Amino acid sequence: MTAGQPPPGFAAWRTQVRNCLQAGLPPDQVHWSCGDSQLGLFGETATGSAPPPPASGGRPVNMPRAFVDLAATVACHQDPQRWGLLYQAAWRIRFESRSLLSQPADPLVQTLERMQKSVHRDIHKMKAFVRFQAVTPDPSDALDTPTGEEYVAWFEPDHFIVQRVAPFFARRFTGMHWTLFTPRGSARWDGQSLQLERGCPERPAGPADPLEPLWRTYYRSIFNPARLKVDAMCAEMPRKYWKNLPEAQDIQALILQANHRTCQMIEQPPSPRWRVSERSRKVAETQAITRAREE
Amino acid sequence: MDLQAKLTILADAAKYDASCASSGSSRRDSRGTQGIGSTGGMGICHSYAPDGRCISLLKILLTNFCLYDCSYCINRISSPVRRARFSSQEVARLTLDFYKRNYIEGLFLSSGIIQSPDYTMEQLIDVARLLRAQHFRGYIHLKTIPEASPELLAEAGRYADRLSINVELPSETSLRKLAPEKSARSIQGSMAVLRSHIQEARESQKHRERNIRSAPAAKPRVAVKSYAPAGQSTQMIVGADQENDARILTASRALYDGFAMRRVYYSAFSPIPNAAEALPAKPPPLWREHRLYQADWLMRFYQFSLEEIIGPDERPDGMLDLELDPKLAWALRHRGFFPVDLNRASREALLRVPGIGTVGARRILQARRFQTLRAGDLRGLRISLRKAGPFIELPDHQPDDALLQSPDPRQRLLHGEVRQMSLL
Repeated sequence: MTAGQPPPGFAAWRTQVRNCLQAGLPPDQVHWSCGDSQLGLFGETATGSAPPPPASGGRPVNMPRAFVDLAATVACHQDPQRWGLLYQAAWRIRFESRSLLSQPADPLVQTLERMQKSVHRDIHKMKAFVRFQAVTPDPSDALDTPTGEEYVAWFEPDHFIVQRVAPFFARRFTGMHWTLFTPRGSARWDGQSLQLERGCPERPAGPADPLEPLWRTYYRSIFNPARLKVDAMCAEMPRKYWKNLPEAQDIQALILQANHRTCQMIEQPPSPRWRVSERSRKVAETQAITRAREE
Repeated sequence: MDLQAKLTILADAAKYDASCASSGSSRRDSRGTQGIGSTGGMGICHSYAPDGRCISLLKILLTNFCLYDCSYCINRISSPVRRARFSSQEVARLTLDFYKRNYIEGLFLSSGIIQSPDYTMEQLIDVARLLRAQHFRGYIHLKTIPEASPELLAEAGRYADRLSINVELPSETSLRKLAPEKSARSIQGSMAVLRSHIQEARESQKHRERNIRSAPAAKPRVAVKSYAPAGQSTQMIVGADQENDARILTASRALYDGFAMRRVYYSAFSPIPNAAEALPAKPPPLWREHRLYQADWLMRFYQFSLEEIIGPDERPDGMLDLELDPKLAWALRHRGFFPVDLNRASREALLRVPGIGTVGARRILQARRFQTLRAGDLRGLRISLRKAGPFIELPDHQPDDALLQSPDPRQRLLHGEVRQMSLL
């Protein structure tokens, strides 16, 4: 998965966890609250109800690498209970079993794995379904990317994943300048560096990209009406994403026409040898001879 | 003809190639360049069409003009389809424009045969070269013309992530009948050429890594050869000829073993407008294609042999059961193998249980190091008791004899009795 930055609040949570564990505070005595300003990009912190002072001289707290990775991902989850669940796991790793995470039948491990999976899926879908729009499309036919070509995108992720996904886009779209707006934080790449910015509650207004009609043409043409499988499509591209995908406008019409188009193809009489050149006449003869031999 | 019209024709013409994979290439990105593009790890499906297929690549033909007359193909010379041709520049521009909007992972370019195989191959390579010259680091899959010269095959792999030559039909006879200009010998000859380039590149990569490990400070002296890092693949059309599943899977096995194929795609022959007379009137059921993929998977990842799936003792008619997946079908033919004790069985035995996949088997092996597994644990391991139940035993679960002892388990399973009973 992406080696992006951990979500905001994660570093503060880690410090608190270390302090609480050293102070020996059991999970039911710690209350984790989130200051939910700006939907988590800024100012979200996790605090213990009775924050113990940083311990001096207590046994250092070492968490297995696998737990730190899991926690960094689960911390992106939108569920406010994530901090408390992660602390429970940290507590049990420290005082019960260091190999807690290797026990897939444990209910807490299952909950955390489910949350991790949900975040990973969200990250994967974001990489797939973000659609950039050119702000100032280049009208020429030239191939080279003009420097400073501007793009914007709008996406609505389920979790706090912008800071995880933005580095992926920076590595991929290095030669472009782009801004990615989401309600849970935004990201800006200017060709040199990546800035994480405040979220944006709704889609910023702007003209449609003149390239979208070409993309929709491609989408309509690559579809094979003889193999209609709407459920398979919806399983991988759930309806909630459709409103931000330009090609999704064509889905209904394609489904409605599919049956008719297929019947037409099957009922059409076999093609007469139309435009038969000298060469393909020879081919036809060879085929006839082979067939005769087979029979 | 404008770009919209060309795209309509040349995307429509390309949809009969099943592959849209963009995974398995070398890891790279565009950091430090003024270009765009990255690949690596798993591919990304940027959209799905209502046929349920993933849209990962811009999959088009450079042209659908073609000298050949393959009966199953919409672009054969004797088809009345509208024709179009892109310039190399147009394809490159379209790829970059789509890529910058995050519509695609890259390009899958194929072509009808025009003028000559070498000329056609040169045109395909030209597009890839143009894209790489623009610092495009996304994925490129080039369809390779089997009759093209070895020099062109060698060049294609320098720009492409994946190369593919379609074997089209499982036997030489079918090929003669339906694709008279193609020959099994030239197809296999070119596949062998690709295989040796790919292996050579992989060796040189390994050699370099070894050098870096043993002497990290020294700069590697030998230039590393890069050639189609995502390997080669091929496609077989199912249902356009009389060959049965046993013949198809045997041919497929030979392709994996002989040419180190990454994937063999099966494409159920799809009705096309203005079909040729030599073709069957009706398409095969799409289930047949699905069952072939399942069988292919069992052979590659579940240690099933070809004989176990479709040997003459197992399936005398050489066809897979359309109503049952091949693993369940095997289980019903080998009821003596079950029940499998989930707390003791080896990985190989676990993989034989219907309803347990590679992930499920791994989870079982991991979980039972800490505890004795019971029926209640299966849910958490994401294993369905409904599917696996009749084939496994646990301290608090014995399989219902009704299925394993039944004189006709297949009937029982298909008619739902077992499903209901195991729920009780």
